[in-house]
Amino acid sequence: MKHKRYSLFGVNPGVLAGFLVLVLIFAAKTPHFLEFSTMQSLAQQVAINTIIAVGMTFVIITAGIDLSVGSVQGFVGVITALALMNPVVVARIGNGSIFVACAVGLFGGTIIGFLNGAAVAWLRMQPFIVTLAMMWIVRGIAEVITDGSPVGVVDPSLPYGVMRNDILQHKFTWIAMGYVGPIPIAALIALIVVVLGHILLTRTVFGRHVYALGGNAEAARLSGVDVTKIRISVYTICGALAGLGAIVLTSRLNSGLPVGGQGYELYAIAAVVVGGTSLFGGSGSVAGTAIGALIIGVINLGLDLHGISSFWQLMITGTIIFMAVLLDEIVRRRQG
Amino acid sequence: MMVGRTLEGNFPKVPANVGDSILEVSGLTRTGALDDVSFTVRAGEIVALAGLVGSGRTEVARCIFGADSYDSGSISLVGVPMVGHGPKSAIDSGIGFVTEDRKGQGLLLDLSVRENISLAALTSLSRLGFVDRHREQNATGDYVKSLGIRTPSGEQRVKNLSGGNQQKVVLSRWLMTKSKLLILDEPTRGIDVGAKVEIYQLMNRLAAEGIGILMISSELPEVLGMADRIIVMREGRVVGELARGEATQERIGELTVGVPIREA
Repeated sequence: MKHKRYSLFGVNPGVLAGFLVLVLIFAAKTPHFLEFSTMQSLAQQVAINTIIAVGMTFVIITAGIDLSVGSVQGFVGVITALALMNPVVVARIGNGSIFVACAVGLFGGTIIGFLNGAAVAWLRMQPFIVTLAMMWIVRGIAEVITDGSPVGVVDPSLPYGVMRNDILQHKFTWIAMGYVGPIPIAALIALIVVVLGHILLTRTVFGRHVYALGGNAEAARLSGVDVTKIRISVYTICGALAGLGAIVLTSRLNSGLPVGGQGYELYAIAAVVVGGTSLFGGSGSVAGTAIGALIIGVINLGLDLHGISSFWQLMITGTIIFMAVLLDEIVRRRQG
Repeated sequence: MMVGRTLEGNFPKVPANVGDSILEVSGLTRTGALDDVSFTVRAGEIVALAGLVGSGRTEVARCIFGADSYDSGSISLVGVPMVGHGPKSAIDSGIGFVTEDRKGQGLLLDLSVRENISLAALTSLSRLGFVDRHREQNATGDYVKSLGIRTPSGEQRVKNLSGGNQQKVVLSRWLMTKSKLLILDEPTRGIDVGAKVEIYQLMNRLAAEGIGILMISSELPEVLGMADRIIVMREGRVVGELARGEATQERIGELTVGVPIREA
């Protein structure tokens, strides 16, 4: 009866300790690891996965899953780039087309998420199957729209590879590569998403209902929770954030790739799970997910700096995720 | 808190002070489960639904609460017909439902005592969608105190509580929504004798405050000990209604199975 839930913003202390140990090891063994510029590029790299994973956290807390977020990167990337470079829009409002493109991208992601949620909530289909199907459908749409080729964010009037600071594509690149003072914009976006996600989940009636639905759907329904509405909402949020992540990715690649973001759904799920959110639903936190994304990012960056090949990195990343979840499971079982 | 442990103290029944009708069920029919079920529950009254498992008692409760749909008939609460659908609208009109399966349908085991108590009343504890944590803590803390829920704090996970204390958590949830009608399905199943008495005392207190209570119970002594009126169901129908004075184990038993029980 004496078990208390010690936590900082809902983050499991084990997760936090693991993260700190990892940072210490890399800091001690890796030249330049703790330098400011390294941290900046870490934040930039982790940003996209964090944004997607926050949405995934909402879904997983309701005991669902969203496998389509990787494909949404491709789909939203393509439609964002197409909207951005649309000659009619550019001729009319010039750089304002960036806002149009972002709106189109966000809307696209949101619609995909809503459709996932509608199928899960109204048609009562398994989230795994619904989003697996959506993963292929959305990827297919991205390929069909572009006939499989990337949509470059380039000014056709300029020679290949030439960029001018005052023009559209440069300004769009700023989303992923720009800085406010010392802070990368992408990291700032991710931070805002984490903070808002955390507030939504822990301070609002909606957030409480998300946990209730994941903890016991029937009890939640019999306590007046509108489980249909909550289900649709979490998938819609997940889709919208996947769309936001895709906009940052498109800005970073300076093009919309129909094949972009392949496997990102698994990175997002890994960040959520490493962050201490249970796949069984009912518990977890956005702050934990942010730490989870950082852990995966730190591992990749640290191994990169050591010059370890990407083949080995896959194995090492996989092993660390396995260990993290195993450790969490052991702690959970002991707490009863 | 004093807990009566003696057998004679098991049913601390207080005579009812019956008021106006709270719940009126008339002609409730659900194909294959319920056939023309009619009865009323009045303020301050404890009405028991007796009968065998499968006789339709829980189905009646679920239809009243909006958890299941029904084919025909009407249900009205304090004279107002319930036209809404779903548990949400039942809760809003003042019904609370303590389910038979506490762990499967009542509690969120991994959440705290506080979160479990406030779940159905969260909207009233929030402003612009944000939960007022301070008010929530105070309000749930009041129920922990007044119902004598034994827990180290409101932050304790509900799964670490005993059955009796868990049941009091569920009851608190429905007191917090200011229920006018409480449906208690097997309210003392799986809880120890001391906690049972506490639940009975609580039922008396709530009835005295004017809440109507519809109790479903398979324990005849409990039905006889606590109910002001007993409605007996068999195969989805109401087969008899007994006032407190005229009910005996034998009469209920006869109605339950449908044949006279002869003395051996």
